[in-house]
Amino acid sequence: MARQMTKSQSFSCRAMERVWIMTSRFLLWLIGVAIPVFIAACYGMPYQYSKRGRVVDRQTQEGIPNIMVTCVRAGNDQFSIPSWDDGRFELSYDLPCDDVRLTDTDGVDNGGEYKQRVVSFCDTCGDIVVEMDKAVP
Amino acid sequence: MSLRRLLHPLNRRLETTVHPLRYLFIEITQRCNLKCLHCGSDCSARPMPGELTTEEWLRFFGHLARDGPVDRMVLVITGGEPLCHPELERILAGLRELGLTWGMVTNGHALSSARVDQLVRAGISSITVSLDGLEASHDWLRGVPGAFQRATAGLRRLAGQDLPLFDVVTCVNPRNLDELPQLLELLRELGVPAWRLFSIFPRGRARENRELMLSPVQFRRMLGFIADERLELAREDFSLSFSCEGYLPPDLDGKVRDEPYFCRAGISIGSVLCDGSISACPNIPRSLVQGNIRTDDLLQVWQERFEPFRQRSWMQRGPCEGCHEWSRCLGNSMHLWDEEAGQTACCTYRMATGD
Repeated sequence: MARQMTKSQSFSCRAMERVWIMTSRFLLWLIGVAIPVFIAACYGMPYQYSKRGRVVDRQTQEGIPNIMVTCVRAGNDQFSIPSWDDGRFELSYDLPCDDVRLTDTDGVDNGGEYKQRVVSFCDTCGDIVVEMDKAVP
Repeated sequence: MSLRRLLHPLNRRLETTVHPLRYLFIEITQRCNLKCLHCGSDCSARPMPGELTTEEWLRFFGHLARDGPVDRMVLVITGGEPLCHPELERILAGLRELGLTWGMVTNGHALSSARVDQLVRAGISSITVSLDGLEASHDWLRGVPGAFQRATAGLRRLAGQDLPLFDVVTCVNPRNLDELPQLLELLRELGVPAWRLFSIFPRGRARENRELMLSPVQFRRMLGFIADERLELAREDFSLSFSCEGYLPPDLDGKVRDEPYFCRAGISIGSVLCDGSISACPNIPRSLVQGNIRTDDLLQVWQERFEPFRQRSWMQRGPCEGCHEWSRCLGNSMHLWDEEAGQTACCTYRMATGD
């Protein structure tokens, strides 16, 4: 009996450990999406686990705020974030993307209505700079 | 307080539990073209006996590309001096073909135009170059006349490329401490976007050259320089920071670094040394090697071993014993562990506070 209890306790411990690891993995992922990881280890080079980008008006080269930036993986939307006031955005590698789709969702409120664009996500390239055209010039 | 710093204790705990392999040092060779007084790896012009062959490296990279967490992992090609590897071109072509993300740490001595083009073509995602002062100081520490001229020429070439990430590291020592403001001007003139400062720690040859190490007063002067210059430089899109080595008081940490102190050795940082040994950062004592890729599966070793890196209570000895900062510091950086003394080789907290 005592031996069975020990086995059962050991099973519970392993199950709890598994739940804790899965929960930790999810929370770590969540933090990573909100605050992208950056590592520059001693005598190692810096590496940003995110892609930085900027959306600009093709004609004026001014940053466009509030463009919805969507990470697309295997044809499915993963998540979306709006561009900041200066048109900048940052996508964490904790959610890998194949492509990035940029959509103007607030009409003319951000200075005009822009045509949607899809660009490829290249993790060895530099920052993404996307020029957008107005739907009605 | 920023969200990053607010969430840091939770993030550190979660990352230690999950231990995702994100940053893997690849010590491609111990050959080197310089003779640095402070070399942590004790490198020389000849390869170390038993270094992995190019075939072995390529086979290992193939395994990583097939089974490793490639979407979220970067390979850090280091040495010795990686540009001294006679078959580097073949290795980099292999990395590119396998779709692995990689960067490099170099002394810049062999960064010719052709070499820079080659690195860019092979898809380099980040590079760090060492520059240890103005000409006389750099050449003295690096042990080769002309090293400064070659490194700065390499930096100019790199600055002309559209690299995703690029910085310079400087080992601050008593000889170059007063040169930091002039060095800053030089780096900006060269077009370098970021600069990280280190102090020299007692490992490898630096153990025998104690005069290379900063005194606590000098250490505080270096931190003061960073804290004074950082904010203004950030406004001009230039990043200046203290390296990740060494725990500091939290208020000071926030003034000299973007990322809060976190020694990720064995938690999300691993390494494969030139003889195939599996460890965390390359400068960590050999007694902490966890396996060898010639006989073990790196990913399995990463999951099943590395306990001393993830559970650090065994390091609470010497100055750490009973220290009120222990829960945040956890024994300082692993590469500062002194095997012979059985305690950390230096307490950067005490150096910074003057206790």
